[in-house]
Amino acid sequence: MKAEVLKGHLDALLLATVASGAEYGYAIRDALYKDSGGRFDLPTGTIYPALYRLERAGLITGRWTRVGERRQRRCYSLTPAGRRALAEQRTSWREFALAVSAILEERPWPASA
Amino acid sequence: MAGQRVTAAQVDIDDAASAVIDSYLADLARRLPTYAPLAADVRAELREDLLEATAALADGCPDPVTAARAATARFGDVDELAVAFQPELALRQARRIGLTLLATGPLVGATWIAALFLTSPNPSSAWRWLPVAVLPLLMLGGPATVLTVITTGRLTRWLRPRARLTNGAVAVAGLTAGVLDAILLLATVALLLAPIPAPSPLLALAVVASLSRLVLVCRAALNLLGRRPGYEAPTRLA
Repeated sequence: MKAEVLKGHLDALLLATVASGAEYGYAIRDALYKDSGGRFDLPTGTIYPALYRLERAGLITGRWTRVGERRQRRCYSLTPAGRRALAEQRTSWREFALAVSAILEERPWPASA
Repeated sequence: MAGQRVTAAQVDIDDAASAVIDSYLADLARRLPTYAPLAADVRAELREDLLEATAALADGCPDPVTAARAATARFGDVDELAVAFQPELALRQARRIGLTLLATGPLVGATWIAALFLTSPNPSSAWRWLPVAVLPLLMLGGPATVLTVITTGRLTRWLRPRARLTNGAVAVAGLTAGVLDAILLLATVALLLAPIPAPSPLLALAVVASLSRLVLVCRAALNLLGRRPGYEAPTRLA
């Protein structure tokens, strides 16, 4: 599936992925890939600008955490505003998906009287 | 899933593999315009995650250099990444300039007011026209600075970021701050050349503050106007 398909949905997908426990860029990309059954195979680097956008908007917050003795990693978590935004996005996506499915599902044309 | 992953902390990645990653990041930095530089913290984050990816790939590949190359390939083409990073890094840079001007503005202003009006109760004629020159600049630069900070902050949750508006606001904010400082410094020269000079430590402090800010604004302006040698604008994605 091409990256363009995700346009407009990437923010919600990232919020959901961070909410599910993937904390840093590489793990988030990995989770997106695995949880989508390999359909969302984004170049890892493209995840970061979206993460920075979400952070700037106050929906996620990033912090450096130490990993082992020598390394550190920038980990992200949802802010309260991010949790609210994710809940709203989930609701609106369900409504949208229901509406689109209702139209796209094949069904007989209603017989006119 | 994440718990089973081999982390970079567990696997030693040799210098040659690190060099592949550093070269990749340097390549990305070169492709970014000067007004959207690859900030040190962003570079550090990308490097750490690339090391992590290399470690994960090295698990099934004995050669760390090959693993590092595979990790950078998976990370993405540097031209495409430069296009993806550019708007966000430009906004980040504009915000940095806006916040700096917002923080230094009142301090520089207060220092000048203290230097001019508290230490010399009878300011020379060189200073009398200052409010006329300074006030319009403040009325223009102040809102432009605030607009820069607003359009690059949390309001972007609701407002779609408009690069042109932000770029215009930061340009006006920087320009007015620079002109303001230049006027104040010129007026100081006039004061020092006057028959009865009244230099004071506060005036010296105000001059240093304005000079520092002028250097900052000039550097930002050069970044906005300039391009790194060898920079090629990346092809925009379809």
